[in-house]
Amino acid sequence: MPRRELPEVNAGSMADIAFTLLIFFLVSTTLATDKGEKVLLPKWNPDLQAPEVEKNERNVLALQIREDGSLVLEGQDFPYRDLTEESVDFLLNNGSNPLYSDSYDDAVINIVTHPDAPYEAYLEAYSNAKASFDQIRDSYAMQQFGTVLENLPDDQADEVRDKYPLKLAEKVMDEDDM
Amino acid sequence: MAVIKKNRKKGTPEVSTASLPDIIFTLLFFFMVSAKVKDATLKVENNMPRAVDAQKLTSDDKVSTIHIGKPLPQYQKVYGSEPVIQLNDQIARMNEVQEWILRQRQEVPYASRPKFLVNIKADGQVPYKLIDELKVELRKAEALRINYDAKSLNYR
Repeated sequence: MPRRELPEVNAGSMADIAFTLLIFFLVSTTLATDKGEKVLLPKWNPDLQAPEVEKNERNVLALQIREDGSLVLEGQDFPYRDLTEESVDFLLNNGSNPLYSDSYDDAVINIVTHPDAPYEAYLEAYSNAKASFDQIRDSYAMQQFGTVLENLPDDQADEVRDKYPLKLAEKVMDEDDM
Repeated sequence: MAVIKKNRKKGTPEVSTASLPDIIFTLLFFFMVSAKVKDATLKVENNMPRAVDAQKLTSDDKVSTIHIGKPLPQYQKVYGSEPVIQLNDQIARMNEVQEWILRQRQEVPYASRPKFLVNIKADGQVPYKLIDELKVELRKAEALRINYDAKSLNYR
């Protein structure tokens, strides 16, 4: 019996396979992008002393971050995970609970951080406090314009931000606070 | 009857190499696309902290990055083991930050200067006072748009 020859492999589709792979990796790889918490710092003014604010105690949500990174809320240990919810309740209280604020306009969240506290603790507290403002703004935007803040045009977004401005104060713990 | 006998060689036929360039180009494209532009060699420890609602930086931000952390073991002989600041490839002191910011801002086209943003990539274990000092320096240099670089945090 004569030996049959091996048929030639059709290599024409190789390119297609290669392109399929290329497209697959193109789609599935993402460039490492930076993520984080954006902040707008206040202008530096050396003449300006921190204002002595006379506020009722109920209108200040006092957060302290200890040297070991634990969180203290109004003198009590407090878990970070409940902070967002707690500060939303505090800000939108409108006088109903005597422990929380009188009104949004009077309320302030004050973060006091120990100088040797780890930065991650500060950031966790800060981002939680910030998240509570985002929640409030989003729900107001939803109610007024039917969508979240991110999707609003600039003028409407500014309206929401003016209605619920950030009320965050922060400082490094000094001797009197320790 | 004349039978024309083809004088074929026996054995395996050659594999077409016509598509080899394609494969090579594919590899080339893949590495081109997946490669990240290297910004600076890290000389400090940099384990990012986590933040609720961490947002991606947008591509039109003109970002300059400041790294903060303990020097890596191989640099500890020179720089000690206390957290330090790294600007570009250099370990720097706090009082050099303002000048560096001015130079970084010079490099951004004038029209995009409002989009200038300083990304603070600080190790989670850095003491907070360092971050606070840095913020004062940034405010003095009028670099008010900053970003605390962080990973996402979800409690659920």
